[in-house]
Amino acid sequence: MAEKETPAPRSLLAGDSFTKAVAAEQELRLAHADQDLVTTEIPEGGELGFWKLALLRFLRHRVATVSLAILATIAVLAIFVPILQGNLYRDQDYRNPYGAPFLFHSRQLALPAGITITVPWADHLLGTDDLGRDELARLIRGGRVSLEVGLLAMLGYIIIGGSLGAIAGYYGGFLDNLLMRFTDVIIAMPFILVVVAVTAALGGVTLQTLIMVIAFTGWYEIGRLMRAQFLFLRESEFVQAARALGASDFRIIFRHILPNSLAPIIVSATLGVSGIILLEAALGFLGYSIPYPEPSWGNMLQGFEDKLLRDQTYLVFFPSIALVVTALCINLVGDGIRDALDPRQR
Amino acid sequence: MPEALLEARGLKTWFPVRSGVLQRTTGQVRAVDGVDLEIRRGETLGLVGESGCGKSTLGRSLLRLVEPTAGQILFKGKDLLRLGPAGMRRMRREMAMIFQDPFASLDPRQTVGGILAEALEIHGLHQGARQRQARIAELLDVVGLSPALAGRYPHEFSGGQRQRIGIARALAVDPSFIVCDEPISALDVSIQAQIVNLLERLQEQFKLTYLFIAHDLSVVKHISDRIAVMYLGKIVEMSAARELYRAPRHPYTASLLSAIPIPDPAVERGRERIILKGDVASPIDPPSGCRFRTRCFKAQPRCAESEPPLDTVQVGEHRAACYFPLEP
Repeated sequence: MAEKETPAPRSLLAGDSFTKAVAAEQELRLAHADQDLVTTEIPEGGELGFWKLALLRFLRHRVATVSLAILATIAVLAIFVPILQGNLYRDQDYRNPYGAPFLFHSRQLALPAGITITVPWADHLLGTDDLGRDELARLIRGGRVSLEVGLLAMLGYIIIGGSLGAIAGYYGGFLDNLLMRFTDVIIAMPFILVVVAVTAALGGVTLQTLIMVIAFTGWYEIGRLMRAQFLFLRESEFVQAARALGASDFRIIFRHILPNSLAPIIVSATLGVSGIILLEAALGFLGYSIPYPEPSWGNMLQGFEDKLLRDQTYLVFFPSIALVVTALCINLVGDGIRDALDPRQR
Repeated sequence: MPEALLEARGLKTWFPVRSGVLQRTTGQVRAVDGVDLEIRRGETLGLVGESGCGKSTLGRSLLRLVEPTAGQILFKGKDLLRLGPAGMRRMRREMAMIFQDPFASLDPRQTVGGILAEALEIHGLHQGARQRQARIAELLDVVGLSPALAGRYPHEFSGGQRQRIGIARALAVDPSFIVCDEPISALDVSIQAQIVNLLERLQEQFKLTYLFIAHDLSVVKHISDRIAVMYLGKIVEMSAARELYRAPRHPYTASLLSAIPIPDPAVERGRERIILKGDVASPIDPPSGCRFRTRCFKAQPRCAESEPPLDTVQVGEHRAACYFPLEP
């Protein structure tokens, strides 16, 4: 280690040369700062906040924007078309059960100026079901149920899971323990049995009870995510800084922790909506979603084996395709949001 | 001698270690374990020690960001640990903190102006939009940033610029005491000097008192009037800065000083270094007697028997907790 040309070994305190050396290093450091006001260049770019940047990134994500457009179309159709169609979804055309889809015939249309034109026309574009009800009207109205359940149950997840998770994560200790054990109990509950029990107890299912049952049994994922965010952010330096300034718990939670914890919650919530829609479909298929004659994509699939065997496959395809497209679009939008919110991309 | 602005007496901050299903307390991490300390008005007290020796916890305990387990903190004669939440909030106008990591210490969702306005909002200072804006511009200006940047978000700034924002936030309430928790260790060397100089200028301008926590001894020497060396939750040596570097008495201080690299290859190659054996002992179960004895090159049986108090060696201002101190 020690080479021969080195000067005589010095103790670490070898007065002079040591002090000199330290002074030399000090000088080196100070050489970089004749003054402390080396004014710093103004950073490039506009004054874009996190959310605006995220929106821009999302809009650049083509798959996600297309998916969002499809979802928006589905939503607009599901909201407004049933209003125009009135009772079409439950009107039974006895003479025409199991009407085939895409049966076009010519029809004369009278235009205002006294001209008549002939157009291809289908009375029931997507055919009719076993009672001769218009499949298209039912499909659109069923979409309403699916979206309503998906969004409202997710709202329930966020309210229940979000607040319990936030409380558990922020206050910690005994409260955290209690709430997390309660969460374990909820997770351990067999969902289908709960649905059956509620159905039995109330003598039937309505849209409200369905949403409430899903919300009360499914919030734990959001809850745990929220707790993790709060646990992590509570200890972060900028929260410590706010505390050092004398900020109240209320201010720390709503000004600092909540805005910073939202990104993963939004992603999880978006992806969760498709899960809820599929869950509602599964319940409908089993007969535990809303009852007839009100359609939902799930209950339209009841008895699908018979329909497949009897060569009425379109009655299975249309609701299935609607479900798959909706769920897929939601997931793609969720992925787009995740990419847009991912801080590593900054 | 100037009066003490802040004084800690027998300060202890222990963290319980819980384990098992029932979360029973099975031990205590003694992060700060009986610290007596006074910080005089207008001075900079440097606090050095290895990672994990409790220096950050001590700094945070003094501001009650972590709740001390026992002891007293007298700030301007008032015991902080006896203040209720409202009293403590009023006290926070007088004391501030500058954090180590300029990337973690600024809320990424708030503009610089929002970050600086927060302290004013909390304490109801400079009310009215115009006064507040003027104050924010003044704060930015004083730390060497353009007031035009108030609408920007932290991610648009470099590390050094962010640290300036952190300093401006600490100044917002017009405090008299600032804990600087390794404010420069996350920065480039060239930026470090700027920030150190900025801190020194601000100290003069606003008559600030600093507790400057660091593990870089050469920077501490530059900025500090006095230095306290901490090991495993205790202060082992304390003296005027120059004196400590010239003639350390505690073997631990000597070993820390010998770890400073010297920017002169000839000297660097030839000098002796004290290489400590082993790791820092566990703060859950510290060694009996002197805590440093397990790694000390001067340890004797006596060191295991009783703990040397800080005034074992006392020459004027210079105090060291060692039975077998190095000769000056």
